[in-house]
Amino acid sequence: MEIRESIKNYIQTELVNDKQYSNLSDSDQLIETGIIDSLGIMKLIGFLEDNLSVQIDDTELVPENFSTIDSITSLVENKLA
Amino acid sequence: MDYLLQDLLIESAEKYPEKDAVVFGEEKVSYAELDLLTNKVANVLIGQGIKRGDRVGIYINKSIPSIISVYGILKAGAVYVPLDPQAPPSRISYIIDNCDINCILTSTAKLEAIGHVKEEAKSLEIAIFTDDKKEINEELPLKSVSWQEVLSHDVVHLPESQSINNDLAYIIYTSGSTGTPKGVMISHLNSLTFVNWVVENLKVRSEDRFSSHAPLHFDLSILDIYACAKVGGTLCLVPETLSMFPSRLSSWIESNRISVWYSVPSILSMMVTHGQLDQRDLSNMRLLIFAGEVFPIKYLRQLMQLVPGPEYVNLYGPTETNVVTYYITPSIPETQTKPIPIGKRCENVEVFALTKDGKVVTEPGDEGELVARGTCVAQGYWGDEEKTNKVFINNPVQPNFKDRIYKTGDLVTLDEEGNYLYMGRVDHMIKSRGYRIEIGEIESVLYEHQLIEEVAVIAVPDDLITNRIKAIIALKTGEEISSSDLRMFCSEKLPKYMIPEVIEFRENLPKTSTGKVDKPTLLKESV
Repeated sequence: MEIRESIKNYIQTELVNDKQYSNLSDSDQLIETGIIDSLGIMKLIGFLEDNLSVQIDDTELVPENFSTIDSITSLVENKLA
Repeated sequence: MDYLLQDLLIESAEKYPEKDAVVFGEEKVSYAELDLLTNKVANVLIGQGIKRGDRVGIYINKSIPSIISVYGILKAGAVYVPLDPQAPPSRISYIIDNCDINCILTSTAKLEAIGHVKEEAKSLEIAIFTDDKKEINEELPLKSVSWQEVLSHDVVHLPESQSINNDLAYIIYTSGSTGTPKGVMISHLNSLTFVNWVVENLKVRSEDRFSSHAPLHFDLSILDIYACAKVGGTLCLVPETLSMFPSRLSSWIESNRISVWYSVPSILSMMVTHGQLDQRDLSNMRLLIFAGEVFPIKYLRQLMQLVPGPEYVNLYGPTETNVVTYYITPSIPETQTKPIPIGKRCENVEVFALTKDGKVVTEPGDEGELVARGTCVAQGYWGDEEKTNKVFINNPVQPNFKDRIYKTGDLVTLDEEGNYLYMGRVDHMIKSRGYRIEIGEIESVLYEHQLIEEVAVIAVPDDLITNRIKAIIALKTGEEISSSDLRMFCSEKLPKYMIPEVIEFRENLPKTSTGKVDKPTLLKESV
């Protein structure tokens, strides 16, 4: 599966708990809306590391990299490039 | 004489009018400004008909307006009820109706949610907005008061207070085993018993810069807000999303020159593993306090090595008593694997453990339920005499006069030095990220789903957050539903920290010989 789709699918099925976000777009804010919280981000990192074979450094664990599906995709793609 | 929580602010405003009282990012408010603003809020509340003892909700994310709301409500002689801004509207409505809240202080960011809350919350009639960021919709089914109206209020002096320290100061709702949350009633005296102890015994002072990490609906917030106000320190509110980014959080601590930190251990553990603490200068830190859950010893040891300066203090106590025991952590040997003790009683609090047959535990190794006695013990649960009478009981060791104690539900034993050690629970309550969670509350919500035949919720032990919640579900024959849809169903009734992280479907659940769901087996299979 394409990286973007795989990330989107994970967030949609595992992290979204609210009906109003049942159809996320790539630019929807994930942090402000609470879709990703402190527990969610640890789950997401586990998913990226286990399923997409990237290692997220502590310095990369910053809001700019996790604010939208777009930004998470860029982070992963840049690391794999 | 400071016998009410708001007196702490009033006195510090006289002593340190120009000093920063609260800082939040670029915003700050001095003690004199905070005192004046909260007088205005109190007068507006009184003008809206709020009387001594009335409950007023606070429905705002942690921010300077949330602190203004706290003191404004107290100064009006009313009782504040913090409402979790992230909780589903149906839970907020339940709390509002349960303790008969007529007025809330809120922000325009919550406009839409307030509309949903009002649909079910019959008693709610007034919303006071603490900002002007969005226009207030004229169709809002409530009487609204804008922040501009509050600021333009010209009566700045408070009417003479009639309150005494036995009056309620706040009500904090915690998870209830029968499906709905219960409101713990805390008086000014209850709270000040703890606050005064902190100031005297942990020696906080006016130069201190306190972090304020816990949300208002979590009673860890009491130490930060009031101990800081009592000594005239500066309260630095931690932006909520920072907890997700440990390295940003550690840099925030550094740049805000925090000297007193207080949080649940899981936040500190995350900073140990991802927070780049070795690259931070945290030399201002004097006191590092934690409570709410057991601190995994390996992370605590690493933290003490990475940040060697401060005194490390473990506080223990349920919301119903605030804090009753404490333990100042000495250095931890590399070989130690068992958790640190919860320690010995705080001054002016009595604690003892009762065995199953009602004897007081005196010998190391003997186990019993910890009970607490003293002015820290809450007034009970709002409007629930039955639950109150179960755990707030007359002291069995002293039957000669009425002497209320609180049964904590926590099993403890003693070590050789007379410290209490936490052993577990007598019931099904669990902790996750410091939050109290009644397994029964989650199960009753899931049982409301029409496709579910059987459900068992278990707590899977976790290194970082104490427990992860897992639900094992058997659906009715031939039915199907996704785990994501079930989580959404839960999110309509439960706060986020109570929604099962993992949902597993099975044909049926294993049973014990007596026909009960075999949770020990399910737990074994999940670890």
